[in-house]
Amino acid sequence: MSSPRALTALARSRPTYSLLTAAGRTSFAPAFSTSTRRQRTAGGATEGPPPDGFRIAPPKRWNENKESVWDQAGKYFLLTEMARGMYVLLEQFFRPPYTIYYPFEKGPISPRFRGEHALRRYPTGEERCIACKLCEAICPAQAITIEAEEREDGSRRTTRYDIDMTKCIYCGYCQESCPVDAIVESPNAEYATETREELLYNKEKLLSNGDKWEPELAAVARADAPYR
Amino acid sequence: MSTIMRTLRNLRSIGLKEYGHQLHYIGDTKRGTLVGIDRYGNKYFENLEEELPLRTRWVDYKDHEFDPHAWMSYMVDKSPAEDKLLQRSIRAWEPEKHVPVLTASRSAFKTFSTTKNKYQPWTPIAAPR
Repeated sequence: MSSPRALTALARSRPTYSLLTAAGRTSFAPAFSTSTRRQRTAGGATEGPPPDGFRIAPPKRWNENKESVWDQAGKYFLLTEMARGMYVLLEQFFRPPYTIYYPFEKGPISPRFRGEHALRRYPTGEERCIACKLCEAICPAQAITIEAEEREDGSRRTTRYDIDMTKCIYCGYCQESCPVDAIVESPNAEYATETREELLYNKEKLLSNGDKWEPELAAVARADAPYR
Repeated sequence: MSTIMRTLRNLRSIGLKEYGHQLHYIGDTKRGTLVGIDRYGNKYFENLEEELPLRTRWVDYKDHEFDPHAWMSYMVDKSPAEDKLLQRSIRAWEPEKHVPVLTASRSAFKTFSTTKNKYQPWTPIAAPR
């Protein structure tokens, strides 16, 4: 929308244009334009200068002050403005704190939060991942590495499932692409480590994450189920 | 620090010992119903009527170690005591004990390869001449 002219031309071509103009909308385009052009209209209350009292008046300077000298001297020597400032502080001191006391109280986390990765299991204990490699293919940061082999019972499973958490951009495409809900991003965000090497997750770490977080992951799946 | 009336009300409600513990630990006095104790020993409290929004649920740690809870992050409404899905140790393959994050220690996670090497080092075998 570079110029409002296209919008007005579009509006004129509509059959309701006569209705619009009859309703008193003399200028149509500036309501949509992002430019700074402002003009006063006949009945438009949304345009023009701001209403009275919208802006705070500029403070009085020393030569515009109408107070008497004795008032000024009293304020200056008795530090009344300091006392007023300290009273504002005292008021805040006796108000209940709005701050969340973090490790003891926590902020809200959505069920759709995308945090640390985990590999889930079926209720029987069988791992879900079937090594279809869709997550590896869709990963925009190419943080996932998968190698697959046939297991002894003939099923196809991964032998290597590595995620470089330092590469991951937490887009959530891997959990969207997974056909069996194996790789999920758990709502855990508190897995900060001291060294970079600890963030190179392999399959064991991801599976143990899934085992540890299974109650929360099940709750996430339940919360999102009505929308899928 | 909070309002004097709130502090005195909480002091009367929770007693001197808990008052001192909370002021030393959390830094604020709170009173509420004990919702549950997790397997590590952390106690979870809730007070939906008197506390400010997002300060209604809190945890009293046993020793700075946290067993994760969706309930603490306001992800679910019901506590694990009421919600069967959120309870731990009901699945056979779940870890029995809580394993803390051992970063900055010698037991920190160290990644390893879960596959066999595809290339073996070549050991030359010289035929006898």
